[in-house]
Amino acid sequence: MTTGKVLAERTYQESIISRRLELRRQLGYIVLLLPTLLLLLVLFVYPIARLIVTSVYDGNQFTLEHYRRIVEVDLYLRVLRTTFTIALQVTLLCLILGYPLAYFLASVRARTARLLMILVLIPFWTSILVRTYAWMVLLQRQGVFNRWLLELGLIDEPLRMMYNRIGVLVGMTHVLLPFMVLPAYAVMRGIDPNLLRAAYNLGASPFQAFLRVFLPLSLPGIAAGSLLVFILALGFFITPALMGGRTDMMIAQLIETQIRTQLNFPFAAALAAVLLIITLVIFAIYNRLLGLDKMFGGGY
Amino acid sequence: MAIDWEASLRHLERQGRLRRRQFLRALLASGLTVVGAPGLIACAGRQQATPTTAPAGGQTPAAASPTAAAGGELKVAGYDNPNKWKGKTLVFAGFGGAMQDAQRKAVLEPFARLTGATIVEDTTDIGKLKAMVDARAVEWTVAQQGTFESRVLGKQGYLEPIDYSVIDKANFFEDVAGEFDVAVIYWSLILAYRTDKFGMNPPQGWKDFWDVQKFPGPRAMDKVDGPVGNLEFALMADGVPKDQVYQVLRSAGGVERAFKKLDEIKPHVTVWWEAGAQPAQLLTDGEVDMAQAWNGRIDAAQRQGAPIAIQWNEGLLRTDSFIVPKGVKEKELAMDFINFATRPEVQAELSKYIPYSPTNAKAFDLMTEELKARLPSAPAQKEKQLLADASFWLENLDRLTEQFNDWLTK
Repeated sequence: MTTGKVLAERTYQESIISRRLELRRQLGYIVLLLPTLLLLLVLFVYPIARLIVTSVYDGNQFTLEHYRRIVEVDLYLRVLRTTFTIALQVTLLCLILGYPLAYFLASVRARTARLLMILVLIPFWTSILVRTYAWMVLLQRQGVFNRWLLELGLIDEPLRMMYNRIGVLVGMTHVLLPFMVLPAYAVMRGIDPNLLRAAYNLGASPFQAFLRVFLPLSLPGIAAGSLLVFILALGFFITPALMGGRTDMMIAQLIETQIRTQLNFPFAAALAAVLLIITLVIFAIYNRLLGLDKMFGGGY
Repeated sequence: MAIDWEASLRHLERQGRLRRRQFLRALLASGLTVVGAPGLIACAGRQQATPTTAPAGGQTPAAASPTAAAGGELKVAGYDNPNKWKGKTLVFAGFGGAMQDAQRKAVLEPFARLTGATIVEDTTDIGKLKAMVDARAVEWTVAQQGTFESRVLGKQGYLEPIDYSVIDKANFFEDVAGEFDVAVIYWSLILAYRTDKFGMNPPQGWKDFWDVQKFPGPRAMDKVDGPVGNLEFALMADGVPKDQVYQVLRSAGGVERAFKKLDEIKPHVTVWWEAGAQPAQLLTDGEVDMAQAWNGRIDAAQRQGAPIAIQWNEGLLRTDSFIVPKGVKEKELAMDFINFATRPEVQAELSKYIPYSPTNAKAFDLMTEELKARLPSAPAQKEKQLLADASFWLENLDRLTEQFNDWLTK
């Protein structure tokens, strides 16, 4: 046997072994993922499939009647528009308020940040009724804010800060802010401060360093936070129903009425399906523009 | 699963009108929001609420009535065999909250004591009821629902027909004995106003509610009931006598007339309320001077000393029903329980704990005048009001809710 033959044989053997190992490793992943996959299948995929099936049947008859109604009656498209507008507005507000907050939390000591984080999370743990009444005390016609402003002579008439869009945005932003702050904070904590020091060292001003180093690195957090807030906001209705005006109706409210009083499950399913589809389309566009998959994969 | 909590919450709140919302809100707060296509879960089967009560802000101590304790144990004519249902179990699904607390004391415990039945409690939910019947695994013996919803369920084939050979309907008010449901309480959507604002010259009905010249001040109206109530009130404000309201609504142009009248009040409504607690709170805080409200909430606020009064004139009387899911095992027990719950003694007892009102006329013979004055179906109040027409709404609720929401959001 020549040395070459021996070497070739060994390489062949090794490649088989490594391939086997690789296979085993992959099998291991699959086994580990199996419970989650099953859970998703049973609790997520199956209900969605059921939902879609429900939405195209009337009794035992296949029909697209429910979808036709959504498109033909003004109300549903108008309410869908309101729903997406409110969700977008809330996302922007959360971004404007949440980014500096996350930046601040990321720049203090971890222990302090954890303590401050509790303050961010408190509204999330508070009953919606308590929260709404708290806002009522502050915002209503004869509420605390209006009384202060009147006494200070800044206004002559009480401002209307509740039972309109302002009330909805205040209430929803209050609840959803943690969903922006938490992912943004997690990403910002992971940014190596040495990178900023390097930028200063190379002559960047603090603002330049922020804009060209910190901000791009924090983008995955913002993207994740915005998406979370936006999608959660789409399903709200108790807050807009309690703090909003008559025009601030969101789609979840109509879905719920169909179930609660009309007992029309197929139509409710169709409304939910439309909301789901539009959300997925928006997600796809968002992903295309921002490359979410890449962002979540890399960045930190 | 925000939507899911919220859906149940709204549903129960509307049905129950007292405190139920708070307990679900507490659930909501604890379990708020997991992502997902909103609405999905609501359709795929609604979550069941665990029958716990959690106190939250603004609840109403409606169940606090010292008179209830006096007089010893409740006796009910015809129920004198403590072994009648021995060994049998009745599962009762109520609305939870203050309502079910009251029912426990006035209905469930006496029934268990007087018949020997074991009683298990749960919380009612339309989705769950449908799922149970579809799966042929009915857990509940008797459930409570709004009468409209009960009639829809009956029509959709989810309920057992009521056996009136067991249930004595001799003294029931009109439209209480349904084919698939028996109405067990009355509640009322009424006009409430601040006495310090209109005490000298109170609004007499919806005409005055609509009259912003004679009765200036911000108003709150009910959006959670959608068109139900609002259309009736608009027609009465437009001069239709209360006994002709449904005739006009059924006639051509009647609905349009109501919406046209609603247009007039639209700019003067500062709050469209969604939760039963809201109108009482808004009136108490002076945010509005006049509101549509559920009588139970106003009663509770009055007892806390709020300067609010109820105008019973032209109020809308509505009912909640007991129903029996199709395929129930203990059908005879269910019917006997409903009969028990509609006896005058039992209904009079229930009203002591919560200001919802008997559907058996004889119950008023067993009450003090003071209590009668607070109840929507007591003769003096009942004759001033309009009874919601379940058959009209059963036919038109879907279409008119759509039209109302369209009108509201424009």
